[in-house]
Amino acid sequence: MQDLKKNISGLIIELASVGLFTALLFALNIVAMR
Amino acid sequence: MRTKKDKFPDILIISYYTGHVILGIAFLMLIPAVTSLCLSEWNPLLDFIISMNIAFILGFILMFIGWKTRDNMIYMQWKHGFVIASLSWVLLMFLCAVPYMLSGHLKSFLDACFDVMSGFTTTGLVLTQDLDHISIGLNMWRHLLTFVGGQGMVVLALSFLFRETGGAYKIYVGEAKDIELVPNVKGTARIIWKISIAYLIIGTTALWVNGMMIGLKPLSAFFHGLFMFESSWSTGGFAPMTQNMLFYHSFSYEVVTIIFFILGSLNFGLHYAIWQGNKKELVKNIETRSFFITTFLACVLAVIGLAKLNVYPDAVAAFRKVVYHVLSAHTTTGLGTVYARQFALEWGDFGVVILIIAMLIGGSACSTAGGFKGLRVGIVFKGLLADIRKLLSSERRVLVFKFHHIKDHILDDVLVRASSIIIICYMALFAIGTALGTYYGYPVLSAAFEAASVTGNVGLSIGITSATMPAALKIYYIIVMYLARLEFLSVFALIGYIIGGMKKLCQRPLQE
Repeated sequence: MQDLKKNISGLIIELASVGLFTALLFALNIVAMR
Repeated sequence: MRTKKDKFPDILIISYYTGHVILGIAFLMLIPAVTSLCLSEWNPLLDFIISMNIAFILGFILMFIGWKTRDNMIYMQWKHGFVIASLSWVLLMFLCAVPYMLSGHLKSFLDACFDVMSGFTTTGLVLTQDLDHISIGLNMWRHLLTFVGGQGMVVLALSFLFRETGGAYKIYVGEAKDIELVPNVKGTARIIWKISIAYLIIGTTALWVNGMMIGLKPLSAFFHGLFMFESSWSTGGFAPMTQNMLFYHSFSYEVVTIIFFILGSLNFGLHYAIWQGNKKELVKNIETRSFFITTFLACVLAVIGLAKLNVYPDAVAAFRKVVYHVLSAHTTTGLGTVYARQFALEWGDFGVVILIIAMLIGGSACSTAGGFKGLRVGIVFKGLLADIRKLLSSERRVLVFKFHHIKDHILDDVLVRASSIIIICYMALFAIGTALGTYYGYPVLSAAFEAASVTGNVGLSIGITSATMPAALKIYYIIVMYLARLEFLSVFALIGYIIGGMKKLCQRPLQE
């Protein structure tokens, strides 16, 4: 159970980090286009 | 006196375990066969039954030849592991091309082999004709090959068919995966599958819902979601439609695929570390640092370069076309939202050069991605910095340099040299590919783009890859995809083994 919790939290962290990185690139893209 | 080891010559060991890997693929064909059966696609079903039988027969013959060695995996040496991995890939290419060929959508068997190798190696270049009208069964097969290819054929066989034995690790390393997540290799293979299946469920669901939101029917949306996830996660680049990602015309669909192909391009060791609660690994790892820095730079440069040309009117369009392709190239995915010729006609030389560099660098080691990998870029860059620091410091001072990749490693010359050699090998393949392309009359930048795409196992095309391209170029691209995916060593072992065997054969009559 403890392992499963760790796995799920790791998975969420990975998804959130990559999502954030994508959002950062989008923001950067807006700045670069100006 | 003959020792026990002499009774098990190399060829029997290689034959027995290659047979295992082939059986793994024969079982895998059950999935598209069942899909065809459920959807009443009778002709594809027959194609898969025929192909499965051929694979089963060959697999059992090979196992039967090497049957004596079944309990002696302990005798397996590194050369056996490398030859089994590389030989299996060649045999599997021919076997997996059978359903392609029987479908009638390929112009020749060479084209079918090209598509299979492209799938296995997660490249994504396509020679299949009339892609929009192929059966769901064959589409399932195409995407399954790319999904399994990303994880590794040997990893698949190890997870389900091999018994718990030490020698299996040598075959596993032969497939260019050298990370040990747990002390036994079977456990490591299973963890790789656990991570991939967890993301398969999440990714397919996300794309399925997204597909229905953009107007696809539920069943169609499910298959599109499944195929596009498999393609994204394995950094493959195949799509069920000719227009690739452009078919969906959906910003959200594109964003979801971006997230999954970036995740797919990360090291399985990194996924496992984070899943075990080591969250800092994401920031500390040399590979993720290298990957995020080079991706960031490539995106900025490409957007600025294309903004100068006024190709895309606003930031959203620039993100969907420019950033999407830089990420797709850098993660070696190869999904595209523009037509192939647009790179040559609209992107300008600077944009194309950025994509070439991104394709060559690629994703992470021990992931589904290709290229010469962020880890090697990081090691060589750190090696360069270390050399500069050594030059500037006192001769008496002993400097020790470290880098972090799952754990702390000492940066020694052997490691820097090994990484540099692999990078040089990749660059040589790229240079030869470019030269060959120009020999056949393609413009140098186009030839370089296509060569970088096959060398990095990417799959983006500038328009050279087609059924009408010269056969020699198709064969060269197949060899490059294969060499680059297995990272040279095991293929060189296979070549050395064949040459050694031929030498022995030639010398025998003289000795007699």
